[in-house]
Amino acid sequence: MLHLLARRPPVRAALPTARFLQPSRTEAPRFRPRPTDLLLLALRALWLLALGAALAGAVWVRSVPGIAEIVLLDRGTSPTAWPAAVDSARRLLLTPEGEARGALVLFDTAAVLVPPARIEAALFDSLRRSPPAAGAATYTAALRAIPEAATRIGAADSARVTLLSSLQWDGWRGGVAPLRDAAWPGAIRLVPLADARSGTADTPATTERGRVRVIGGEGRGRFVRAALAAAGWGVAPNTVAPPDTADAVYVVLDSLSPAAAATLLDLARNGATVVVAAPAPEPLQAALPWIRSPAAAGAADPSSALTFPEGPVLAGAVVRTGGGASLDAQLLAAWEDGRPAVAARREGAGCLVFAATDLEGGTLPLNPGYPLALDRMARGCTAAADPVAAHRLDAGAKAVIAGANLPAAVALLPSGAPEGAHLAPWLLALAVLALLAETFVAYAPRR
Amino acid sequence: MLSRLGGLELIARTVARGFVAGVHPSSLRGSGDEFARHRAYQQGDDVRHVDWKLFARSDRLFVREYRERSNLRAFLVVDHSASMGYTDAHGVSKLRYANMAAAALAFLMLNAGDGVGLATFGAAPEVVLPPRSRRGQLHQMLLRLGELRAEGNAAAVSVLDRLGDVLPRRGRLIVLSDLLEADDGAGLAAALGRFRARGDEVVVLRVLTPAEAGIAPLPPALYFDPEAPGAPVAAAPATDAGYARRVATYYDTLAGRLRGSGVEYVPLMTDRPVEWALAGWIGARGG
Repeated sequence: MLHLLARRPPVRAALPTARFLQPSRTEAPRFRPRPTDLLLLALRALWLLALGAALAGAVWVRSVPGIAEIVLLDRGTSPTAWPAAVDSARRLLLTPEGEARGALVLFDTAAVLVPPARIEAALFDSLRRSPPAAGAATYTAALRAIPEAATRIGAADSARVTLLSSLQWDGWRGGVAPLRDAAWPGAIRLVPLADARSGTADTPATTERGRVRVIGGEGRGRFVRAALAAAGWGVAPNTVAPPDTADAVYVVLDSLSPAAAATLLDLARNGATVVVAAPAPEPLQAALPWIRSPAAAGAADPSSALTFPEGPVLAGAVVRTGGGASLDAQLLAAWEDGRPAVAARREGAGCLVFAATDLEGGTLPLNPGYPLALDRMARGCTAAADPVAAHRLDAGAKAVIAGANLPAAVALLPSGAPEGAHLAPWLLALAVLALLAETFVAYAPRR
Repeated sequence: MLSRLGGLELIARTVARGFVAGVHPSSLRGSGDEFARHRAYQQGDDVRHVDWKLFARSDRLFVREYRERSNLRAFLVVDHSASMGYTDAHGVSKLRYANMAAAALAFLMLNAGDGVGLATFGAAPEVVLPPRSRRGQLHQMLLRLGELRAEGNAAAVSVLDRLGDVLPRRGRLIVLSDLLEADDGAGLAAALGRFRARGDEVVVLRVLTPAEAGIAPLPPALYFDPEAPGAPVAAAPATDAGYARRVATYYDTLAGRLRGSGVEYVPLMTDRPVEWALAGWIGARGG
């Protein structure tokens, strides 16, 4: 645009004796394109681009075509599945010729990065012989290692991440969801491994913990039922009152008659877990492990999170009941400000659990840890996690880790001072030469 | 050179100092009614001219000398049309050059006791100052000359027709113009001829720049006449051999017409210092 604006129009000049002039055909300055206009345009564009690239510090980095692999190998895999897991990692990271094409991250509660230079067949042989870690792995450790692994890859211009894990809930932490977005902008391919606790890689957990029944109307409890089913619970149809058959867990989401409340209390005393969500039915209030405050339930700050000690952090609650846990209650979860949110108390052989929020309100059910939180409430007064009941991540949690609609491979950007030829001095020289040439062409005297 | 002096009064006085003789024979002091100066009494002086009051004060005899009053009335007619604003490479516009020449001539004539007036034509004809010889006339003339701007395209005839009533017979008319008239100067020549016919002295000082005359080169460009708006002409005067000839032919023809009417025609070029040009002209006149 500057080139077009700078085109010099013909000179107009006043001359009182203009009447004596004869029009000139050969040398009259007519405004028509000259052959040098294109050359001037090219020279001006060239020196502007060269100067801009020089100031930007252009570097020539030879790009290596191909996609590198970043493999996250779960060291919490069961010993029986470990050799197969190592073989899967070997196939992903070694070419048939034995050349490394990525980085390996071994993680359990922490992550260890194996750079491409150390990836060789002997490494995998050694790993195969090494027993896996005794404790469960955490996915947050694996996610944190991905950016570091990406910077170590120099033999490719893009990378793909693969997670080799049994994908258990016990690896889930409250920080997984926010960390996932920051750790890697692309998708993570999930390769489930077999785990003795939860069956083979292709079959879901077969251990059912018992049956859950939602006490409420027809449309109530659909999120609760789905989440508890994902956590390995059997789910019975809704009823408005406790039926004759005994279930392991009752989740009360609606009001109750005094008779129904009395029946539920009897069931609890006989070993069931009764989970009551706010607002608590009047006949049950006295029995719950909760001391109501004079202030009525109010709106919760949607950004205020419900935190469970075992990990799930749920945000998006819209109801918050006033009051606090009774003195003999066990605290299962608290609000961000530390005030009790979920309390449990032994009732005979069973357990009464009160959640001071609407379990299906707001965006609570959309939290990835929602099934885990409901599972904790359903286990009631149980002190520790059921070691037999380790179960796989549900589809929602897997989707969080995998990343929906994200590219499978991500271009690797050079970090710090990339290796390569610095072009700034050459570009600067080119800009100067182009500018000199442009000046000469633009202002050379014309006949 | 004079253009660098700036003020017209300074220019006028500088030009005047370059002249030994005035433009009019009656620049001598003599008997008249305008006091010129005191002089010590010499034997033979007319005692009627002795200043007795000064004798009473100084106890010495002095006689008064008087300036001879001239009866000549002159008009300086200055062209300030748009074409006079043209400035060539030398940096002096034709109007500026004409103003310097007019200022010098006014100074000389007023100093000689002539009555000098000023008329202009540019946007419109105007009799600016009637011819007078009193003190302050030069200052007024220089002021009005300094205020002139090159504008308009009025013809010289428009102001000459008005001067006939203002200028007494046997006066002097000095026209400073580039003579680029729409009618090729025919009307001008006729009007000036009428002044000559009634006995007036008429001088035309033609002011032109070397570039207009074709002496200095002009680059190729789209040229237009500032007084005649129309389509510009794409031309290259420097390589047009006929351009200078056509200009010269125009002025030669006009000069012949003027001289045929008894008008004195003096071509002036702006590249020549005005004091030299006037000195050359006046010297050639023998005045």
